[in-house]
Amino acid sequence: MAEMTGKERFLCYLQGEKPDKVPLLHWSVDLALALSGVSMRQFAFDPEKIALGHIRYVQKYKTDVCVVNTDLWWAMEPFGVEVYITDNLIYPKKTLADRTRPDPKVYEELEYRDPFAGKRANIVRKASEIVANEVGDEVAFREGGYGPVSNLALVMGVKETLRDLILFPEAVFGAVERVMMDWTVDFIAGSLEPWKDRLTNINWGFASLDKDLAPPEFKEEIARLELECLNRVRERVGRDVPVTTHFCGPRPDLDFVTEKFGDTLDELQFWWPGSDYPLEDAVSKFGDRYAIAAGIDHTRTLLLGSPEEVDAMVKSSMDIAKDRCSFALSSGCELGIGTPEGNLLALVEARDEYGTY
Amino acid sequence: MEQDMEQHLKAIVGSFLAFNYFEAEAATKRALDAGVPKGEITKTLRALFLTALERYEEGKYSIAHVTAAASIFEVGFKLAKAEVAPKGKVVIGTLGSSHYLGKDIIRLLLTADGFEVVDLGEIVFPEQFVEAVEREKPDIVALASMIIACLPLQKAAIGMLQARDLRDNVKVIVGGAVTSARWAAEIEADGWAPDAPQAVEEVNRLLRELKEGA
Repeated sequence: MAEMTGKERFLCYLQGEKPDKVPLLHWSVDLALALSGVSMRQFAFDPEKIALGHIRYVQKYKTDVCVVNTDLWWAMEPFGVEVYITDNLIYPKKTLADRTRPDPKVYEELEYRDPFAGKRANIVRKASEIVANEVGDEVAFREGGYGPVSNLALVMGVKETLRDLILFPEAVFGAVERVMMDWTVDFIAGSLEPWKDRLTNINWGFASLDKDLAPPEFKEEIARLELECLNRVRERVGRDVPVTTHFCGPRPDLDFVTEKFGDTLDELQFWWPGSDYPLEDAVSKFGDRYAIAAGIDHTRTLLLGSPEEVDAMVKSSMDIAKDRCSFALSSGCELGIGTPEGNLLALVEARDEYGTY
Repeated sequence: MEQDMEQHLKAIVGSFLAFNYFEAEAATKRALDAGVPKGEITKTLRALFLTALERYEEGKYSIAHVTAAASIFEVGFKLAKAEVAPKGKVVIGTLGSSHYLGKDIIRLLLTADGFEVVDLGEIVFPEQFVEAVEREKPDIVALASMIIACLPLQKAAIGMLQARDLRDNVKVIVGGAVTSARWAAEIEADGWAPDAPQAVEEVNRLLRELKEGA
């Protein structure tokens, strides 16, 4: 088979057809930043540098998919969320709920804000446009975000929202229904715009349905809100863009999510090795319904292991999944600073060796 | 009085288990006003918090429940904390990022276990740990890294303690969702634990080692 571009390969895989080889998917703001040659303080405010880092990333590490971002909070700034920007990291300095003293009023008083009213939102959008124009025919593009409950947590503070969901659930769910549903639809639909028809799939982060995080008594309600919001995003986009689950936690609830979201989903992307959901089980249960992206442990083998260990990990994942479902080799989440370049190049070699059809 | 005390403690238990933060706070104040010994109240709160952690381990509670339980424990514990000599001193902080739930749970459990805990907070960098060790002279340094991007900061902190000749004076424990026993061994930490209750056990073990000169 002739060599496909990353975009062709990934689209082929998403459609359940056999590409020339198994697609390779991983991403990292930290490593894109390193490849941009500037500090985070400059990167975060310069769309050209954000684009440059991400383009160099896909070219150097031969990933078939590009995910452009700087952090999780740029769209939250119109709510009054503030961040620290250090040389390497962006982290929240101020979220809205009080850390030490819970107060339902902060949820009751939350008002809608335009997700693209902030300075950094438009910088990230501009960077996405540049990347789409530069490498849009070569690689696939995943764009999206979290659902409305997780987005509320980014505005209020993750720990605070988890706490308050238990202490006064009516106030928390009230804010989700009243503000964050509309906000999430506007945010995700707006984030997709720079990619135009180059977008290959919508990424939907299911942090709110991680088995560790989600209170069992509220899972049904969270799923109802997430599904309603996702359907509204699809209506707004106006075409049938495939939807990917993204589970970055160590206890992904694939059974619950597939039961609740059914055919709304096209691809299951989750963390294994490393999580408690074996790839073998996912392939057996869901391989005939969804494309499956997994197989790279970004926290141990890729970060701390040797190229030989990376090779063995890839071989094991391919043995489990390559010929039994539509399979992409994927990390569970973003790669970290310090992931050895030799291991990233070993990933490409191992994918080519064990993943060619 | 004993019957009164039982009623007051029952009120604390009931509001804690119902996750009623404000009622738990009020019940603790009423118990203190009625003369219930501080030690009885903190013992009750600690047992309730450990129960919440056990229920989390059993899959009955989520992290959301643990977070709510931690906040109720903390508000009650602050009101009822007794002044007793600490069994050891721990400096703790989250390296690089603003994640604090895991670190706060350990801080609360260590405090309840009788340690004096100096919390450097979050987005702490290795230099701040070195300064804190020089200033506070702790027995144990607890380095939390909650995201993969901040793991190298644990290694840097241990390296800086060594470079300043401070490493022999303290035991270093590392932890956080992205850490592992392999990582702890690689960066030459003295201890590692996969969860909060085991972190408390590990800190106690390290304190014993330190006192025995191991």
